[in-house]
Amino acid sequence: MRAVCNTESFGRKLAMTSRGVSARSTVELLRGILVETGNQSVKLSATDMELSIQTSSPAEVEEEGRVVIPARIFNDVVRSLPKGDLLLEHDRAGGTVRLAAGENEYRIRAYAAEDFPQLPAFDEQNAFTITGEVLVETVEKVSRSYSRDETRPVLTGILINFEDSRVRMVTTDSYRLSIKESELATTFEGSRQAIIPARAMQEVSRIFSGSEVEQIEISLSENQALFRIGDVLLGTRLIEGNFPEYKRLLPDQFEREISVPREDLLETLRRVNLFATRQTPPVPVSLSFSDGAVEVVVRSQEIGEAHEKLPASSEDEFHISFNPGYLLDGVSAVDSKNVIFKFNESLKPGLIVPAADGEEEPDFLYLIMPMRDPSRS
Amino acid sequence: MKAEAGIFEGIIGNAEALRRLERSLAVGEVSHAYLFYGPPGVGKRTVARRFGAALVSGGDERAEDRARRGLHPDLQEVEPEGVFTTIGQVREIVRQAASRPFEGARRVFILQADTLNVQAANALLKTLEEPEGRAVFLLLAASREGVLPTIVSRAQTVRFNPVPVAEVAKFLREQGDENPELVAALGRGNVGLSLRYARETEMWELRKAVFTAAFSFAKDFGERRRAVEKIVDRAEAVGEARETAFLEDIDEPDRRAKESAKRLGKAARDGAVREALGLISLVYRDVAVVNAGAEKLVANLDRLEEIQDYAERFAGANWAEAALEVGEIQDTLAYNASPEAVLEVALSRVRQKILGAYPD
Repeated sequence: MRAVCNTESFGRKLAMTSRGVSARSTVELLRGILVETGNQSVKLSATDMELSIQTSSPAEVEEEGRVVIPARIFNDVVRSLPKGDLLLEHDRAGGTVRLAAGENEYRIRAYAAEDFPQLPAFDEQNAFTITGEVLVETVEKVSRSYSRDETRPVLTGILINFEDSRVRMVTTDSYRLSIKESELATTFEGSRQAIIPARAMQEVSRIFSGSEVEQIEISLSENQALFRIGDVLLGTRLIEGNFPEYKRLLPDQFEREISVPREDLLETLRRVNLFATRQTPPVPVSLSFSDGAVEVVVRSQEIGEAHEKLPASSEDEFHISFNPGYLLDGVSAVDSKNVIFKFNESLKPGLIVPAADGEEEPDFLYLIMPMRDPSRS
Repeated sequence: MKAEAGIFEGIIGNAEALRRLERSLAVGEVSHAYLFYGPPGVGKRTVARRFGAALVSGGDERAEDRARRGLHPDLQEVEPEGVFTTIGQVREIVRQAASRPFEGARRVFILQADTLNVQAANALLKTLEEPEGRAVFLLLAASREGVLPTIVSRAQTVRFNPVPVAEVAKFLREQGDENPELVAALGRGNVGLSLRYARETEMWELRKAVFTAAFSFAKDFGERRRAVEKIVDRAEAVGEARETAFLEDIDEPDRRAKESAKRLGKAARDGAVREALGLISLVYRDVAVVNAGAEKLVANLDRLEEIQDYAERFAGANWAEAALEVGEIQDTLAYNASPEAVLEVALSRVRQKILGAYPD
């Protein structure tokens, strides 16, 4: 292999690819970046066995080839080189890669490309497109309620469903459940569903934010989901298993529907939550609805109490308590002027949705389990 | 019997177990968990690696070759952290087992089931019970009893037996070994151990020291002590050689690699002390065998004259019981007992046994 590229632009691509490298692996080869010559370009690939990142950088290819170069030293050297041309040359006999920039020359121990894991390929035929902004926003909406507890791996993922030109994402940590629906940029025939690690979706958002493209292409295979963001391809293993049947968790009807001004409620919650000490189980925040108002209360044995009163569309008396952090997450994920609460009984789950314009179904739902309020029982 | 072809090519012994595994692979009826149990050095790990490589690669030869060399993302071998496979390690396995294969047909985990403590084993149970799809667990253990029954009952058990000495000798002869019979006999059915005698000079040095100590029956306490010290020195040398060999394979050993090397070195030293006791027991067994007129069964072929000599001099002693006694001490070898103390106790008990028949 022999190729010349621009140090600066190659370095940027290399740094991005390096994020995909497995830092913990004990196998040298897996801490490397696969470098392959392509059509007027050099292709860079890395994987940590969960995620994979593949991208390419323009290059003048003088001799074709493939080789694996240890990521850390490769990245460190290229990053610190002055602007200009960079020559990459694989010395097969010596088992090294030569990097030459001006008068500077480096030789790095290299590994055989044949030993590198087989990275997933993008399936053009069955791919579909979504507006990047929409994907990022949808991920963000549901990202609060995936589980951080790795003993239930299914819940650490985002259930993603593509159906009839819509995408639906669902997460739950079994205390709350978020559902967000958005329009795809292209129509999609049939339906596809997968559980994708939340971490991978956040990496997609991150790469998108750093890019200048508008669309993201997606291909779902049996084992992998692949996202094409401009010239970057991010792959992730899918999570195996059955996602909870979330539709069954959603009550068909609610006895009350109460509207509260969102901004005011957010500020109230942020203040009263100062009294919710970090402890397990947490100190609950209580909502006491009455005719036209809601009182928001946090009582901590250690610190003291906070009481605030807000206008609300409630008509009768109703009390319910929540984990303060979870309630705040739900209210902040809503982006309408008023937030709508739907309740049945005090110990049954409540629903938080944006105030809909007209008769439309809301495109975001946040179901939250109540807490038992010790001061009331 | 040596497997001639297929994924287990070149593996000696346990032909029936290997056939069973190959058959399940051929018909695609693969269990989600296997427990390979049996004494050390009979090929459990090698078989697990080969079987695991075949499982993840699903027929792709290049992928299978990569997997055998530990370079496949879907085949993972979990080494215990010290004495135990920890709950942290098991949680990571549980998480990984719930994700689809990266490139292969399945995900395979190889772990040592007898190093799981109770919490770690319990954390693994649910995954073993309801495997999410395509994860296969290959569990290794020295015995079924060393594994929690709840784990055993969820796995298909495959027993690995000691390999007949004649088979090991035949294999060694084919490899061009100089003393195939002797090396095979010293391994006592443990192929790994035989190979170490074939390759490591430190093991022969250890054996020399063992012979001096085993026949150190003088009244003089100091002589026995010096013999024991010699054995411990040799065991240290075995440990150091292991540590050096491990570090030589790594380009730039970091702190973690150095710690691993130290741990392996210590394990090898402890293993050598254990082996010294095993050898002492074997020497006494040989004398007992000669006494019983079955010289053909002597393992230490190269020291036959010396063994005959002692058999004659202490013909009335119960050598078989001495061999058993040392064997029992070997079984109870505790983690933290000083090797010197254990060896001295063993030798002085034996001395009483042998000389008991010859009161002053």
